[in-house]
Amino acid sequence: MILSEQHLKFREKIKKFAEEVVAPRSIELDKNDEFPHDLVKQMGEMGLYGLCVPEKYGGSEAGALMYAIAVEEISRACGSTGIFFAAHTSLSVAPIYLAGNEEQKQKWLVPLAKGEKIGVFGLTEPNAGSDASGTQTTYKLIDNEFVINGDKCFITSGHVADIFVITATKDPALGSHGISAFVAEKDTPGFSLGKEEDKMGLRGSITSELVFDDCKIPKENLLGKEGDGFKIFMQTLDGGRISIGALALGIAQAALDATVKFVKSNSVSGKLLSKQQSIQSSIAEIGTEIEAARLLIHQAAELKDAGKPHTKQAAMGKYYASLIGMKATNKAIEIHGMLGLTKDYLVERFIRDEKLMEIGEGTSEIQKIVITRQILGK
Amino acid sequence: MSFIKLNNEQKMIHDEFRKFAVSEIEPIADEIEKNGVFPKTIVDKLAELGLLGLIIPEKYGGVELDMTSLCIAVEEISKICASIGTILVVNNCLVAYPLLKFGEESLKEKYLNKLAAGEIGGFICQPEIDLPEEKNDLKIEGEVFIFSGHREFILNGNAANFYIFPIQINKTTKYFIFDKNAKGFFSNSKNLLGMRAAGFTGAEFQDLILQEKKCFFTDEKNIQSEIHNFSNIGLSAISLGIAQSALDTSIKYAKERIQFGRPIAEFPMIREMLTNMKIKIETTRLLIYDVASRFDNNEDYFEQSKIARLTASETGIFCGLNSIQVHGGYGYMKDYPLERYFRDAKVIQLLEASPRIMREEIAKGLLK
Repeated sequence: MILSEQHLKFREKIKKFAEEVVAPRSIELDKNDEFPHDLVKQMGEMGLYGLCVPEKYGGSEAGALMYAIAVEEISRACGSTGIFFAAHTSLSVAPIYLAGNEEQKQKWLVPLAKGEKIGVFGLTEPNAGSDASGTQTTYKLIDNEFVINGDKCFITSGHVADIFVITATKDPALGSHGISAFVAEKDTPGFSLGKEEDKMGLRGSITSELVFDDCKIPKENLLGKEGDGFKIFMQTLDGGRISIGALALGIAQAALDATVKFVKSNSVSGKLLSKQQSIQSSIAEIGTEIEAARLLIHQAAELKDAGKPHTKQAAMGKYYASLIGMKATNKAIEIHGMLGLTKDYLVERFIRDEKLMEIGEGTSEIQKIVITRQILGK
Repeated sequence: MSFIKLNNEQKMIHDEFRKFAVSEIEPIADEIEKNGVFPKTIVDKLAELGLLGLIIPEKYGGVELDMTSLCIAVEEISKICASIGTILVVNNCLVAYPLLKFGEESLKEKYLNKLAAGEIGGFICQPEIDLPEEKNDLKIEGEVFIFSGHREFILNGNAANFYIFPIQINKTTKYFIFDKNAKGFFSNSKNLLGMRAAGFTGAEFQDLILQEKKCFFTDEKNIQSEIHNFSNIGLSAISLGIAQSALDTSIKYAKERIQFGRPIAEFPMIREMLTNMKIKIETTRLLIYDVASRFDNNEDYFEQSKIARLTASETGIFCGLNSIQVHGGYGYMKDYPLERYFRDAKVIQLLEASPRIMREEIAKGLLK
């Protein structure tokens, strides 16, 4: 697969921004648990959140492939900034574009796509992780308002967000059929933010608990029809997996970049590390796996852009990129030796950031189930 | 029938260290890691109980345990806190052992007694990559060696009263001892991926004077590999302890966590992860206690110690990562100890060792 001139140019543009603006910030973001408000704003001005939505909603409709390229390049510089970007775009812009009516799109999609507002996706709950259809957050229609009760956890960007796409069920006994999707806004009474998680990596991103305690949201905040929630988030996650795959890929590429730099500039007993065959062998393996992961992700993105089913390819891309990303980051530290354990080199951060890619938006085990279903049929 | 048979003394060591780890260390393990604090009170308590100088002979005030017992002790401590396991191994395997094996009697008497009484010894790691001359400058003036330069890693650095300092001079390596107050020695703190309570430091040296009479060992025949091979055994036991805890925690969680209407322990993919962890742990345990017993019986153990170390460090990392995976999102959070297990396991893999070089050495042995 060869990228078009247009895609290559776009990659160069994003790469330049990532190297010059994002990468220098990445170290302090990780060190100080700082959320990159500045970068979030700049990426909005560059139109990165609107890559998959039409101009009339504040986007450029450049497509999923452009988006995958952007996520990869941003994440190559900073995983925390990458996860914000991916979550905001795939999990709040996308479901509103997918399922919102015209009025909802004007109200929420436009500011989200332009980066004027920050959006999140509230799906996971303390007792509904991999089993997302087991949602326990409930809604009731009372006097033209939906009354929501329940807790959401591990929600990316919760504490800085304005717009919350959430799922809730009419009755947990109904399973996936009972689930609907809603939009809640920041200052809605009965909605509050719980704790902010202290994580192994992605420390420049925010992970929040959301608490709904008789939270009343207007009837017109329902996305799609009642009972559509499960379908909406399944479709949302198909797209989301492309971006998490691209994120994992960006971090893996960063680990390879750092390793190449290290082995070309350091020697042992007078011999450059890059001349050691055992190291060359590792670099060949990692390099090959990264290319293969990129092909899978680009294929998924192209299918999505062509309006074709891409569930299998998206799941494969995420599964494979995060798998080889863990190998690449792990090996990168090993090649650096003890120096790779220090903050003077970036590889120790890469592995901490990368591990989430095997967990977030469906663990690797869930990806395998999705892939198997596609291969075996129902 | 189990291959590993512990004698009564070894069983006692197991129980004693298990009890100590659970009652004294567990309540503070998360906190000291989070704050990167050297666990001085714990180390002092170990010293009071006479459990710090494990392999030091009784005549120097130690407990004179065999290597099997040391591994048992280190495994039990590392199940709860790998940083403290590391402090024990550095003190015994990298500081006490070289002195014991190669030191002159006067140095042994002085330093082994100190170690047995509860003092900490530091070990200065040799550079892993070539340093520019100004960072690695040794002048020789008669019986005095003057060193200026840089060392990236000192194990037990921030609590040590004295340091073992191997320096390569041409093709030989000299092992010096110097005091923490030595002029020209400036240590700095070190923040690593894991083992954050183990007290690692780095250092700058400016005209540090090292005296020939405090060089306890000049390695002309490259038998320094003996120190590496010996310490490999103890360091492997740390990885094993971490791996075992990662599995134990995962089993407990898998039984409790309900998804899709049943405990996740019922799902084959979870069971497979647990099984793979168990297989690696048992393989590692056999290798470690085999090499420990070879050492205890004065048999050749060099090659086996490298195999044990390589296997153990990979097992530690594998179990750390898989335990995070079993826990899903929770595994990634610092409320649970899994991400610490992984970070510590990754540090242990590379501590005073290069997997690549160890593999090369095994190949050399095979092909000679």
